[in-house]
Amino acid sequence: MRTELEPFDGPQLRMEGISKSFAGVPALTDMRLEVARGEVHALMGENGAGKSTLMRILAGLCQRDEGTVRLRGAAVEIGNPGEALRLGISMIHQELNPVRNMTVAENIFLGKEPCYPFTPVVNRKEQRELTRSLLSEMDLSVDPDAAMRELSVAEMQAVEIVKAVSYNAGIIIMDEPTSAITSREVSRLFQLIQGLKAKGIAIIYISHKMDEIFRISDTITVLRDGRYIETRSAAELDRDTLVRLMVGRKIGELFPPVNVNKGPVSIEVEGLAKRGVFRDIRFKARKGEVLGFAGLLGAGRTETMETLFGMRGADAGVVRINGEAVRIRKPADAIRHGIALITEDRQLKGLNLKASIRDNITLVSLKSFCRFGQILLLSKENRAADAEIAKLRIKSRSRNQLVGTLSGGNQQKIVLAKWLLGEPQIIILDEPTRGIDIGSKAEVYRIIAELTQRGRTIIMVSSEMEEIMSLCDRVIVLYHGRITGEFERGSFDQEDIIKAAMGNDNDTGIGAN
Amino acid sequence: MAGVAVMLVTALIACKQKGKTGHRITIGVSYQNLQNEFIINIQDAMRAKAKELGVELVEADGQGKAETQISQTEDFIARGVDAIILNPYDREGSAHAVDLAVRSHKPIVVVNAIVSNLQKADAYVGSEDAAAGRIVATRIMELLKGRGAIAVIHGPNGHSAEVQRSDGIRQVLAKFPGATIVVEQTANWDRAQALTLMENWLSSGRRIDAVIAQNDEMALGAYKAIAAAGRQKEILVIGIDAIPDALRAVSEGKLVGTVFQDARGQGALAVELAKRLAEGQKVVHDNDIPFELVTRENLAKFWSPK
Amino acid sequence: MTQESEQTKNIGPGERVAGKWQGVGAFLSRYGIYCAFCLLAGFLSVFSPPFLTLSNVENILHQTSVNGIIAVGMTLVIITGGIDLSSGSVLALSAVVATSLAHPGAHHLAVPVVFGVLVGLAAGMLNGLLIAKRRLAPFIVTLGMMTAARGLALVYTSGRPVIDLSDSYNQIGGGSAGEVPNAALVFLAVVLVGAFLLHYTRFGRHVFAVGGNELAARVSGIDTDRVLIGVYALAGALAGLAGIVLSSRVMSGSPATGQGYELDAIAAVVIGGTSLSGGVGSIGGTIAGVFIIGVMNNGLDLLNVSSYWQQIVKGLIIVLAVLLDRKSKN
Repeated sequence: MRTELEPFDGPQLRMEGISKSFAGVPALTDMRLEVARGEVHALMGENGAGKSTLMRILAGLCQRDEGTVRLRGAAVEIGNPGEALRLGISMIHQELNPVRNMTVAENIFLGKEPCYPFTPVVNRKEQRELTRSLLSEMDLSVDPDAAMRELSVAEMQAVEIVKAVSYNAGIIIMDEPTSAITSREVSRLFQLIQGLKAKGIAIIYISHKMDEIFRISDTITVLRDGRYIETRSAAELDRDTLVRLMVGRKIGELFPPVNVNKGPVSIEVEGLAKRGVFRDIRFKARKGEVLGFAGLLGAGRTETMETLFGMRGADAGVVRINGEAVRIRKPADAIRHGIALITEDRQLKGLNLKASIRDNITLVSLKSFCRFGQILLLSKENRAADAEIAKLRIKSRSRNQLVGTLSGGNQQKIVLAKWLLGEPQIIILDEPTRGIDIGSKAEVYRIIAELTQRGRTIIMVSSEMEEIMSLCDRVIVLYHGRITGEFERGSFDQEDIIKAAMGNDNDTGIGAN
Repeated sequence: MAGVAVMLVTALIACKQKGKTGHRITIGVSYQNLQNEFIINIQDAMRAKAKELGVELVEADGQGKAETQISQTEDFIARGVDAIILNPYDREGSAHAVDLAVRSHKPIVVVNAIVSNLQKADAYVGSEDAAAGRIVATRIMELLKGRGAIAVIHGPNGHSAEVQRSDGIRQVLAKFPGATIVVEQTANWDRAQALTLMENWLSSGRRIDAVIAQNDEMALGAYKAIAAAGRQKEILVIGIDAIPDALRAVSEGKLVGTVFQDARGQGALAVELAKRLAEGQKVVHDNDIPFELVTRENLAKFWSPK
Repeated sequence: MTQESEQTKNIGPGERVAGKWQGVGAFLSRYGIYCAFCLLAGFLSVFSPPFLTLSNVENILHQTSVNGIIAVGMTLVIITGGIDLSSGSVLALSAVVATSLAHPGAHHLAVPVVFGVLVGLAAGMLNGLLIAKRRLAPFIVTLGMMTAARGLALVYTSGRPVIDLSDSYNQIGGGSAGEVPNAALVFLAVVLVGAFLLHYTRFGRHVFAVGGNELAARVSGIDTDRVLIGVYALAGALAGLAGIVLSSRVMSGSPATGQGYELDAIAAVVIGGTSLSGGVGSIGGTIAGVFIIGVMNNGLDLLNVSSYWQQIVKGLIIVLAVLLDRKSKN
């Protein structure tokens, strides 16, 4: 079923002189890329550097204006994704989109189902057997008859990869493959990738996560502002150089120094519980302090924070703000007590993409821009919005620009601006730097540092170990809805934290992960 | 499962009911549209007659849709009514109901409006709508002395009465070379639509000497527009149906006339004929109840001020 | 969604500069509806001279007022991402209740007006409660209300129109203050209040927030239930007001009236640029939509085009408006 590729001396893929503009605005200028057989080639660059545009051209999702694409030496035209697949180019998108109600086997063979000869009837038995053999080739133990929606994100991703392989892919593009899977699953993915390499398949890997990039890639190509910058083998590059190439300037210290002046306890939580989700949550945090929450995906950290903020009802628990017990039953209550929550999914819960920057920024504190509590004072609002835009260095044309058109990093800053405008005392951040580029990340860290210096309390949920260890004064680890560890700066140990995140070898948590 | 059980039990109870009541004649009635005041008058008459004769009416509102009337007829047949009275909405569309009744050997009486296969029905009670059209057109021609610019406001296109009244109006106007129809449009029996339509016609600057509206609601709407423009002395308005509001308007000289359709007569006779057919008797097929022109002169016969 | 073309500095990564043609596109998507209206009016005044007379303009004002009043309420509902199919039926229900209190010498004029609006308000609040608290789809809830309100109106009047109304009642929708029809004055008042509410108050901003992203609005501390109930209650009250204006103009409260009026309102809102998916819209756009439909109806009547063709034209305009809206979003 799989034809062996004839040997060819030279790069598997060579893209040269690629240019592309959208409505007169250049997205790529004279871009080039060379990928060798069986290598993992990382594409690095800030948001807007042109990585996704280049890959979309390669995958047939849009057409280049100029330049050539050569596969194994021969120039090709890739008019649509179907043609890309036939040429052996497969793309695994960041947002997986399988047909959830169909089985694994049906998804893999979608559009090329094996049929009984001369009939349109699908030979399910053969389909299942082929799927099984494909899965076992990649060392995966997924049931071919399982429905896609029953699979975890990591399993779905693995199936997508198998699907790509079944198309005789010579090149597989992976776009942010690890943004929604646990670190255990990341290791499994990397094993899969090694298997693919052994078969001679090249992987083009796009990710913001530097440690992963250094772990898995052979070669790294850096793009900036739509232009090709440099290609080097991963072994030759170090982190600082890579950042400098990507950003074009020295970024200085990524992590600012930790604030030393801590004030009194501002928030105390005891016995917070929600049946089936988490229990016995207790912690204290002080002014000027950053309290981190670590744990695996599904440990219940987001649920805890959303309950604390009043988005979900708690079954039990006491919350004290500055010593006083408070009742928080809806977000408005939490806001009144000076708590802000920057959710992990900014597009889903954090922003109104159809509204302007100004409207988003002033939404929480709108009352303070009103006369008689209802009539808007537009000039006051405009001034405040402009001030925030400047303070947080939000890159935009005007305050009236629609938020949906901005990059991830800028969007995250707007969410921050929205909450900080109301001068909250306790700020809960849930994965604040997920999916944003290195430049914006540095800004966010700077803001956090500033806030602590001004005596605010920060509670930060994060899955990036580096972030936790560099920013937090204390770390609480959750596992299956229970606290399994509490660590102070000074006695931070990555191993201990990870062990606690995985339950410390005794599984007494709540429910299944 | 529970649903099926409920259905079975209900069916059993229904069957028992029929046997129990000995044999009281049941007549299924499908009205064209009970949101129409005139049809409600027919309904009142039918109910009164049914009570008097001791027959049971199973009533259904066609809601202005021919296909609904077809389904209702099918239901009546399935229920086993003794006879059917059809007040058709659509001359072509509601005709199939007659075919269904004939096929199932159920006597069917058509009332108030005609259908294209009228001859197949057992009886027809009604006023010939073409006559109504002729009456109003004749009255206008009398008042205008045979010449003038006429505006016609129609009922819904394809409606049984609309088609016929239009025919009648044209028949008469054709005889007067000095009279022309300068504008015509539908206002769907609706007062507000007719008002808007008339307003716009007045704006267009066309000369209009008289407005023939195919029912009173539209006539009243048109009159309002004319009065608002101050031109009620110049333009004559006439309608059909003789609803109370129109009768008052005639008494006040606003409408130059209307046409009385004997709803009571139609409804009562329909029920009587249906009962006789159900009992196996033969009846006369065409039962015409004539329209009557109502003017200020003979108004007292139809209406008295409250 | 495209912005006016500006200087190219301060463009960050991931953004696009508006090219020259994009500027035209941006202008059209914001003001196109008003251009369309001017074109239509211009065309009609050429082909039908009576179009521009004072009395015809008065007619247009009369004829658009009812739809316009409903459309203002509908705008807010649609901005929250919902829809109200019950407007026509609520209009009829309010009309019959109001007219039943408007017989000569029966009550002071304020009584039918107040009760008519209250009936509409109550119906709208019920819609809002079911939609907000019970999380039922607006389409279904208002569809139910559409049928129920109509039925209630028929029951209340036994199917017959309410007639014999006092002359002073006629003044509301049928009279004029000088050359300006009262109905238009009511319409204007509703427009001003509606626009102010939507664009200059905190409540209005909340309406946009709920429509743009309800979950994010809730997280931001907005009482989304209260916003939704308020919006539907207002739409109901305005449908009630429209019922009073209409019944006073024709001098009869018919339980059969108003059928299809909600669709005309929705058409006006959509033509005016408000997106059915919520979060975007304006009262100004809706008013342009109301007038485009009204002018078109009036003009086609003047030209003696049959009402069936008029419906086809109206349908085409709606589709065109949606297409333009879709294009401008890309």
